Amino acid sequence: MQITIKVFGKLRHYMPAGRSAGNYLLNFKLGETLEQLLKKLPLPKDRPYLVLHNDNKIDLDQLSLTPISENDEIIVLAPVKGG
Amino acid sequence: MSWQQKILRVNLTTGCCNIEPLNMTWANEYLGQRGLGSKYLLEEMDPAVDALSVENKLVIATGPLTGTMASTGGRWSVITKGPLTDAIACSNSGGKFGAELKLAGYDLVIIEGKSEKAVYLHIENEKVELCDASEVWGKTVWETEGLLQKKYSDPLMRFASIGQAGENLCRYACIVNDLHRAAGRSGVGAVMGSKNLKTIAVRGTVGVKNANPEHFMKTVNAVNNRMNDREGMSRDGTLDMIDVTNSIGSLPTRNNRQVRFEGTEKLNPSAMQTPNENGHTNLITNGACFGCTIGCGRICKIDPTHFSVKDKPQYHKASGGLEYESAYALGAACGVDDIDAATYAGFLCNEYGMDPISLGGSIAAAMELFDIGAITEKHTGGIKLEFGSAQALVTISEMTARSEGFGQDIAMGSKRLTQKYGHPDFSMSVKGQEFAGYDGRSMQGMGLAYATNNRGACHMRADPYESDFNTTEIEGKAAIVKNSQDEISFIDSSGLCLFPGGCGWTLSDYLELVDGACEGTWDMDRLKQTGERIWNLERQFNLLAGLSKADDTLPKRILEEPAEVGIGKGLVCRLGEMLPEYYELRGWDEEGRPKADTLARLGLN
Repeated sequence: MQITIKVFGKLRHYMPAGRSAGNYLLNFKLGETLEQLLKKLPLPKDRPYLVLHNDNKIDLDQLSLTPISENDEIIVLAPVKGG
Repeated sequence: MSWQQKILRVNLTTGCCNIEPLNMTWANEYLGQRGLGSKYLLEEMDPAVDALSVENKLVIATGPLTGTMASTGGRWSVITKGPLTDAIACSNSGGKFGAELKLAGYDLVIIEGKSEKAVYLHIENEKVELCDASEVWGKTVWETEGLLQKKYSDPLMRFASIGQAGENLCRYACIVNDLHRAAGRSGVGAVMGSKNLKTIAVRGTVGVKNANPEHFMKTVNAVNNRMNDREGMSRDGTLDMIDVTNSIGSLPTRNNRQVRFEGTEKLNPSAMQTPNENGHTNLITNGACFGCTIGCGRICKIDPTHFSVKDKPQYHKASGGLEYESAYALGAACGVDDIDAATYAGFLCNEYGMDPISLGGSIAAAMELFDIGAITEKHTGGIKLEFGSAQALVTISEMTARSEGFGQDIAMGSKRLTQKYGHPDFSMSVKGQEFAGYDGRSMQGMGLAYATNNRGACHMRADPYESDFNTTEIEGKAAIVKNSQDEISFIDSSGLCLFPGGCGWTLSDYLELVDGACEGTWDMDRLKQTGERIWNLERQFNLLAGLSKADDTLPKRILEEPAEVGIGKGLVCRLGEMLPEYYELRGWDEEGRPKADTLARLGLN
C-alpha cells in the first residue's frame, strides 16, 4: 500500500524531490507504525521535528506505538521561528 | 569601540542641525539602536504627547555593530511614539541605509519640531542640510529615490523615505529604505509625514573604528562559521513558515475566524518557485541586506498578464516580494489565494509606504464588517469587499495607498475602523497594532507575547516558537516569553538581525560579537540585564503615556472562541492564567507596574 507524507519547513530540503510541493509517496505494509514509516525518509537525526497524525500531534516517544492506515494524513515539520 | 559617539540633532522648526556627543553612560547601559533610542526618547519627551503633534520626536538609531563586518550588521531602528498604538514605537529595518548612516559618523539622528514646508535631510558625513522637497513631495518612495539618486549622481547614496501614505498620515505608514526594506510597524512613517520630512538621504565615508580590529575580525569569522543552518532561509525565505503554521492550525485566516487556510499551497514557497500556467515564476532570486550572509529577502515579479498589472508596465519589474508576514496578511487573513494579487498589494506597500501586516489586518477586519452587513457597497464605493476576493484586495489596497474614498477608513487601522462601525471586537490587534501571522490559541506563548509586547501585537519581540510548536500546555510559557523578550531587546539594540538565531547562532554568538566590538566586558549577565532594562524602560514610557494593564490583552475572539482545528483544537488563549505569573517574573505589581526594587535593580529609578 502507499501513503502520502507531507514534509514542510526546513526538512523539505532533505527530501529527494528537493523543491517540490512537499508531498512524498511511500510504500508501507499493514501493521507498520509511524516510526517505521518515518525511517524511510532521509530525515536528519540530529534535528528535532514535529509529527502530526490526522491533525493530532504525536510525541516522538509515541511514534513506535502509533499504527498507520491507508488514508491517514501525516505531516512532518521542523520547528522554525521568526518570519 | 564601535560607537561613533556622535548624535545628529535636527530641529525642523528652526532648521538647525547640530552634532552633539553621544552620552556614553547611556550607551553602556542601553547599548544602541532600540535601547539607546528609547532612552533618549523618554529622557527628552513627555510620553503623553499626541503622536502626530509637533512635540513628538523621531529617533533614527544604529547599533554598535551596524556598519561593521559582523554578519547581518546592517540593522537600524526608528523610535518614536506610534500613531497606531499611542505607545512607544520601535520599528527595525535592514537594507543598506543604516550602515551608510553609521559610516557617515552617527549613532543616532534625533529629529524634532516640524518644518513649515516639505523638506528632506541630506547628510554627507559632517555636511548636513535640510533641502526643499517640493519636487518629491506627493511622489512615491520609488519615484523619490529615483529623482534624488539622479540629482546627486551618487549610486552609493542611500535613502529612507515616506510615500504618500506617510504624507497622508496613514496610521500604519512606514519608512521605506533601499526601495523595499522598511521600518514597517506602528506608523513611524506618519510621524515623519506629520513633520513634513520626506526623505533622509545619506552618504558616509568616515568608516567605523574598532579598538582591536584584528581581534574583532577573528571573532566575526569564528561566529560566522557557526551560522551553519541557513540554507532553508536563503532558499525559501521566511515564507517557509506558512506550511508550518497552516499544518498546526496557527495561520490566522479570514480575520482569525479560522486558523487554517485552504489556499496555502497557492502562496507557499513551492508556489512562489514553480512556473504558473503562463510559464511565469514569481520568485526571481533572493536578496540580502548589508553584510548579511543569509539572504532571506524575496525578489519577485508579478505575472505581467495578471489583472492587477496588465496595463501597468511599471509593475513588471522585479521588486521586494512576499515574505511570510505579508503572505499571511495580504493572503490568508483576507482569504485570498492569488499570489500575484498579494504580491501586487505588497509592492504597493513598498511604493506608497505602508505596513503590509496592518494593511492586510485592516482589510480583513473590513471584510468581516462587510460580511455581516455592518458596511455595504455604499460605504466602500461599490467594492464587494468579500473574503477571498483578489480584486477587492487589489482595489482597496490602491485606494488606501492613495487615501481615496473608503481607503481613508482602512488607513485608520483595524482598531479605529471597527470602532467607527460599531464592532470593535473585529479588530485582531493588541494596543491597536494588528496581529502577525500566528494565532494565540494554538500558540499560547505567542498569545502572551502579543498581549505584553510594548509596541502591540508583534512576532519579533519574543521567542516562544519552539515551545509553542511542542506543547499547548501553558506551564513555563511566562518564563520563556519574559526571558526571550529581554534577550531580543539586547539583540535589537546591537545592530544585528534576529534571523541568525534561526540559522545556527545562539545568544552567545551575539554576545561574543558585542564584546568584541564594544569597550568594557560584556558577559551573559550583563546582556540579560541590559535587555531587561530596555524592556522596563519601554514599559515606563507606556505607563506615562497612559497605557495600563487593561492594554495587556487580546481580542475577545482569541480569549473566548475555541480554535476549530489543529493542535489548538478546542482551546482559547489562557492569557488570564499566564499574565499574573508573567508580571511576577518581571518584578511588577498586580497592575503591571514595575516595583520600586525592580526599578532600582535596573538603575531606572
